[in-house]
Amino acid sequence: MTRWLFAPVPKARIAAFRTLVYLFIPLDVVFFSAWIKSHGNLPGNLYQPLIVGRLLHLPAPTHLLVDAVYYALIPLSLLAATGRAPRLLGWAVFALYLEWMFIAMSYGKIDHDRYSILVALAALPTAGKARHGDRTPSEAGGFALRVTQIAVVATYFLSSIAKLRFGGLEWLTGATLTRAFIRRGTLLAQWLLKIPGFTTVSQFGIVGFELLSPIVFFVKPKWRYAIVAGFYLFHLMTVSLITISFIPHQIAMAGFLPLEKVTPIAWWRRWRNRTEEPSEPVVAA
Amino acid sequence: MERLNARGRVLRIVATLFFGALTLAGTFWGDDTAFPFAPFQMFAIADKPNEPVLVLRTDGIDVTGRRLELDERNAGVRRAEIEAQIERFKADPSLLSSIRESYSARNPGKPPLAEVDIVEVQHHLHNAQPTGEITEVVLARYRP
Repeated sequence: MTRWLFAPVPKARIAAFRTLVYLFIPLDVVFFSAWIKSHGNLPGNLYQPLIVGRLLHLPAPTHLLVDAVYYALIPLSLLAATGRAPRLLGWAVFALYLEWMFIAMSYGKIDHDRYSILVALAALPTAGKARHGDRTPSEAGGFALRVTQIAVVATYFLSSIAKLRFGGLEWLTGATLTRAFIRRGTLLAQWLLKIPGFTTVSQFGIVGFELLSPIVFFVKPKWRYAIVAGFYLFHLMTVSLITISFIPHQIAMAGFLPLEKVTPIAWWRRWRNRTEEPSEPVVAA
Repeated sequence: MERLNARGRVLRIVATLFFGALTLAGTFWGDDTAFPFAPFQMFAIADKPNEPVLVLRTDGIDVTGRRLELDERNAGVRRAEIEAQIERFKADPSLLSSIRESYSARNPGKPPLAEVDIVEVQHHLHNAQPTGEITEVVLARYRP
């Protein structure tokens, strides 16, 4: 079990995952979850603090607080994306993003697409220094990716446990998807709603997929990647039907992939060298 | 190969077990206020296959009498947040004054709102399939 938890990964993978996650944070704050910033305009009487917020005596969000977190989070994340001072910058980004989440979730509505990215942000500062292209295997890095993967799978598996806890077995034959399609369905969803039984069959499919998701840890790499591709496909369907992207979760899910093989800068250099060489004689002429 | 020392391993295992236990406890016994250890309960409620689907809409009527739908963009209101606090609005519609103010702040040139309504739109179902019948009911009305 501990060997599995600390299975080493190349440092280059940590460097790539770090860059991906920390570049995502400013995009999320500015673009994907832009609604969070508007909570600074909401009056205090709509604020419903979370347990952690009460324990830590966090203040009710104000304009000043929301702006301070926003303008600290963006540059610090960009700095962290370079891989420098991974511990200091990593913990700072984690603390700020966690506060950003408290600001987001203290108004009566809780989303559950953030768990795995929060775990990734908490784990990355413990992964140690990592340079792009460095093939040295690292146990600290392996652990950081492993707990992120566990968080991704837990999000699926525990979603089904929550369905059984709150909805019971009736969830399978209920009108939950029909309701979601009516309330926020795309044109495609409205069209699928006309097929009798489509939503009921889909509900069985979703619970089956969520309860079986831990299988991803017990299969050979080839199958593992196929299953992760299936996870991504599931979110593609959710987006195209009810416009719920789960994008933070999808970013964390990249922790399953051999990201060190994705080297856009090296590709770009190689492409530039190839296109520049034949052009030289032309310039000389 | 860069290995972890015994202390590094123990610390990581303890942290994993601790936060893992909090997550499980949240899923089995917690509620939304336990975030980030809240149960993963988006879409976890089993909706009755023969009861109407209810959609709340927030309407504003401005001083010229024009009715418009209020949303995240024009009034900073998320539907889910209104739904989560609907009982408070029903008990005390004057809480809706904050939405009126938020609309004015975002639309400085436009006529202010003379009324804010929370309307329930009921889509009727049969065996989890929509029948096409729709009813609207006003749940809370605020006039300054």
